[in-house]
Amino acid sequence: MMYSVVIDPPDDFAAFRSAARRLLAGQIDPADVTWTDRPAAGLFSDPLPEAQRVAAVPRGFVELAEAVACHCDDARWALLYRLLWRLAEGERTLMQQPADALVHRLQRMAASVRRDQHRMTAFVRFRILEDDGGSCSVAWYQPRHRILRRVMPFFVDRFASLRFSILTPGLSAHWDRRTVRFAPGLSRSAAPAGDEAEDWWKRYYRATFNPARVNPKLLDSHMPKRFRRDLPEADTIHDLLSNAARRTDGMIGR
Amino acid sequence: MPKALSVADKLEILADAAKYDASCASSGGDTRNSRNSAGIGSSTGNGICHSYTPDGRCVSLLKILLTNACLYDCAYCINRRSSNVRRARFTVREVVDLTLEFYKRNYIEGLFLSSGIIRSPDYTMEAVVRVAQTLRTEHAFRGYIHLKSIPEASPDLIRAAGLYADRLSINIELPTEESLRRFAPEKRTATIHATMRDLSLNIAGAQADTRGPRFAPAGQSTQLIVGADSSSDSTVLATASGLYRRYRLKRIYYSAFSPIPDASTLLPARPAPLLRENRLYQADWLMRFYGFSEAEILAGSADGMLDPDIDPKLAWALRNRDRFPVDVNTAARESLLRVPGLGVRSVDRVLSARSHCRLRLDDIRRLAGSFRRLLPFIVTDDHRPTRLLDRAALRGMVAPSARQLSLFG
Repeated sequence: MMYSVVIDPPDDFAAFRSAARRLLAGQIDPADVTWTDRPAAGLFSDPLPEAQRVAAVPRGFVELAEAVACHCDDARWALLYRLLWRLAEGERTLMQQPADALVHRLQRMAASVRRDQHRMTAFVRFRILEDDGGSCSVAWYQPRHRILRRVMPFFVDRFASLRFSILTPGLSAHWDRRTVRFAPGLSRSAAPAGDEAEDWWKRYYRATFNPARVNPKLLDSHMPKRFRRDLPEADTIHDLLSNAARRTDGMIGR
Repeated sequence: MPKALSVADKLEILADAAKYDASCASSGGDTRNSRNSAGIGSSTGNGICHSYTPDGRCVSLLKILLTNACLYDCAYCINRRSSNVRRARFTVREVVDLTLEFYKRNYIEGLFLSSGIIRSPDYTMEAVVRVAQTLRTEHAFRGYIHLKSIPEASPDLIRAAGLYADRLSINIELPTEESLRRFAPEKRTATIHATMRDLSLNIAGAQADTRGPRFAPAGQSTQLIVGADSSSDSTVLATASGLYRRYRLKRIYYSAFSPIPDASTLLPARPAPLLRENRLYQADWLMRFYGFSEAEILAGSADGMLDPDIDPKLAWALRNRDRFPVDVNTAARESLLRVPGLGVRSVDRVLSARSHCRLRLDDIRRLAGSFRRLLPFIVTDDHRPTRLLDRAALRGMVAPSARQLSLFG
């Protein structure tokens, strides 16, 4: 028997969980299951077994799996099901064995998702528009993984009293001061092109830089180039770097 | 009459004047949000670096001075009385508006406000506190606020600062009283210590009595300038360790003396190497998280200076080879923490993993960050490096090459 499971939308952890329960109930070996994001022509699947009560998953699995579910790696569902399978087969302490190759790989995937979330909380930049409903903050951002749903509570905690939207290529989110509405993704051109506060921000960024400590490699390791495209301050970096030596020489050669 | 400065001009002058303070942390505050509030802001307790400047330093807070005019004449400071920098002064309203506008756009976690001393310490501290008070009470701002406390200001003002700020700091600046007297004639070590002690008592009091008034939940920090005077690393670390012990500081920042425009002739003409600052931070970490005492870190060193070529943990291990190799399957946590290449998180992963199975070299490869460098220092069931440890060439095998080192500065 061969099984194909479609998880759509691609970060739908609840759909994965319900399919995994039925597969486990039928004791379906991970090697007999393929996981995909969308139905494809010619994709055949035997019907999934009926759901039955299955053993509770150990502490730590759900937390790990919810993060891995957002990872952009197509293998994520298959790896998670393999972990569930081994837990169900009696490896009850597997979650406490970070040296196990599968656990290690999944933990690294979860860490990559969390790092991406942290970067998003740091690097999102809002531009503020005035419209009929008052002011509205809009940001466009390109995360590496599918993290917008996981990151929205952070921004709602912070800006609950403001209307705001965060647009990403795969999904957009809109907060109207009461609820979050998710909608299809949008391209960069859907976001406002500028905000006058950015000139102030760039002046601040230039002034707070110390040319005597110039260190482009450290900059690159903390803020890799791929994150800079949508940061308004990043277009001053080139000038700051090329003038740093001249400014410092002036101080030492007093 | 010179033309009045615009707010943008002031921002440039007063950010430039504030940048020599290394602190930019936004961590350690209490957890709060703005749901069901007319205000804005939140704090998760974890700091966020919203950007990095080309010096590789984090931009987390709007770090500015209220004014860079100053009555004091501290030689290391760009804003000292005798310096000829352009002077500017923000109004309370201007700082409040800038903070809110930057915060709304997610540029910053909050505000780090400091000031030159004008008219009197109390007059200045009162204005600094008023900015924080306006943000918190008029605008229900729940972002992060770090205020610089002026040691000579009255205790009432310091208490008010603690009510609104997440973190307070007083910079000790120089590691010895003698250097402070020489470079900062208006400052007194005794006054700085007395205020730090008051802060630590207030912070501890507020932690013990959660129903009482709030006081700087993210604690206090300080900064030491390295390389402006001739103090050795061992003097710096002894001062630091004393400060951590006595006043429970959250952080000490080490700032390598860097040349400033219009510098005082008392100062060295050359900058201190940034690598020295880096090594001091590593040593500081060993004291706070790895169970090293300050005396151990530099024991056996001829000149009281940290080795610039290798990090202090590796240097310690090479001087104490009799403590190695360590068996990762049986060693106590304290011994594992001393293995070069094993960080706190790797050690915790090793402890968790070995309670379920015997660890082999392949397991360690997955659990530790820097596998190659820890090989000479550990034993597993399939690895025993006894002969390696005896080789005189060990240092060359585990120390990074000089070329790699230059990455740090």
